[in-house]
Amino acid sequence: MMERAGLLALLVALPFPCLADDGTGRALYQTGAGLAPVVAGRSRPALADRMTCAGCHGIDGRGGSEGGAARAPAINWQTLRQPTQTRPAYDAPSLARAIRQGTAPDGRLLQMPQFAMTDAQLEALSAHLQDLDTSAYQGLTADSIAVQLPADPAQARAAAAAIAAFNAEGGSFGRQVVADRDAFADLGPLLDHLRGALTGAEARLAQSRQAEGWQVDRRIDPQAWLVLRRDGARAMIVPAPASMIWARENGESLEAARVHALTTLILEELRQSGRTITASAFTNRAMRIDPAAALFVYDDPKGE
Amino acid sequence: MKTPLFLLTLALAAPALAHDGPHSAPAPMQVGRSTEKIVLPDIAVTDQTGKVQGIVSRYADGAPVIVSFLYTNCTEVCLMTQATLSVVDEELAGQKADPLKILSITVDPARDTPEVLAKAAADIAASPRWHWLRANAAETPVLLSAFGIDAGPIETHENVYFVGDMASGEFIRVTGDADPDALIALARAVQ
Repeated sequence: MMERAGLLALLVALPFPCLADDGTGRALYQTGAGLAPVVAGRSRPALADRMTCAGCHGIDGRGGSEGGAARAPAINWQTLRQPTQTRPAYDAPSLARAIRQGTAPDGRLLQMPQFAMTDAQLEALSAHLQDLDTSAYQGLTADSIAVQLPADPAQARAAAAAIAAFNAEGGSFGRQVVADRDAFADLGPLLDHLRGALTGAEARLAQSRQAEGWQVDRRIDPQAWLVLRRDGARAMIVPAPASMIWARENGESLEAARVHALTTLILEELRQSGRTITASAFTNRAMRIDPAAALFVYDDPKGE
Repeated sequence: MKTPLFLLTLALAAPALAHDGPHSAPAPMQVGRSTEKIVLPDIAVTDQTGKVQGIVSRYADGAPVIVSFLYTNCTEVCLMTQATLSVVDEELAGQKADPLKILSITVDPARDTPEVLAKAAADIAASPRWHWLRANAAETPVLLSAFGIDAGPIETHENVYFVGDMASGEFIRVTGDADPDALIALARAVQ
């Protein structure tokens, strides 16, 4: 039994050279490393740094694609070495044919540009495709992005509602956001950080109104919304309207509406980041979101 | 337009496949079986040089056009479209008298200003026959829906070409990875 298992492992491992990537493969995958794509038999050097593996298959190699258009398949290692209903498993020669000639192992023409990679470049790329199985790309599949919800139940409900609304609008590049533990992004710390920054953004909005002669009501409850008054008119600084409507319709608090609005901003950032971003790079971007975009000034000219 | 166009396209596409061996399936390019009448409003479009004119009146001479859609921030499908059109552009480079025009309409007018489009055109060495067009944000959805393209989120747009002319509004729809020679042949057959 041991012997058979060992033999099996050897057979499975054999079709591809198993090398560690020194960064060459990752550069090829993410930036094209200056290699010109070939389309309709013509080299297109002007598009060398834009038509990359990561551009269509995702920096994570999990595939997925622009909504209505053809989907780029997942090309991480474990996916390639499994046969599917439409193709046998890839091996080193068939991967080389796919990249250099644009044909799948079953002979289909692939809807992708070709690349004149050297054998050394192909080996480096294969090593990077193996890296994609493990590293910074957890929580991503061809059609989903996993996020971890905040631990607080009220925050979790607000975040889940914002996610549902985001998915209803199409999600991010054909991917739906799902709640899961092995996540691409952890919403809890992001929301805590942005919630802190939101108080500052509310104060700055109020200050800009004060410069125009508005008075700010003193808040008894520090979580209440800011109310400003001038000449009998009143203005309130509240979370974005969609979040306020969600909170009102579901009997949730103002604080939950804030979390809902901030989650919406994080998801927008996820969509804006596109498909060529790692988990850590996304978290860095999300931490720099300007929370002012989650706020809305409701003007009530007649006051109370 | 006459029906043999479709056969002509197949004949042109076939030699390109031949060298891939007996196991090759047909190319995923799909050509509409008949022309579609597209009623286009004469929406003002700005090209990469800053010239502004209605999209119908500008091409009212009936010159053949290959129409496609893009946004310059795209990393995938519309890059295939741009690469294919750049081959078309290159193949026609020696034929200044050929009236054929390539029109790329942005689906992202908020970010694709004429300046951004000019840079994208220059980056890919587009010739003057390749017009990179932008309607304003309010009219872009109208223009897209005239072509039957969903004006939803920008990343969901389809890979599609329309070959025809603005004077008659008759177009053939081509989807998938188009063969540049086949696109030129379709355009040449526009009367």
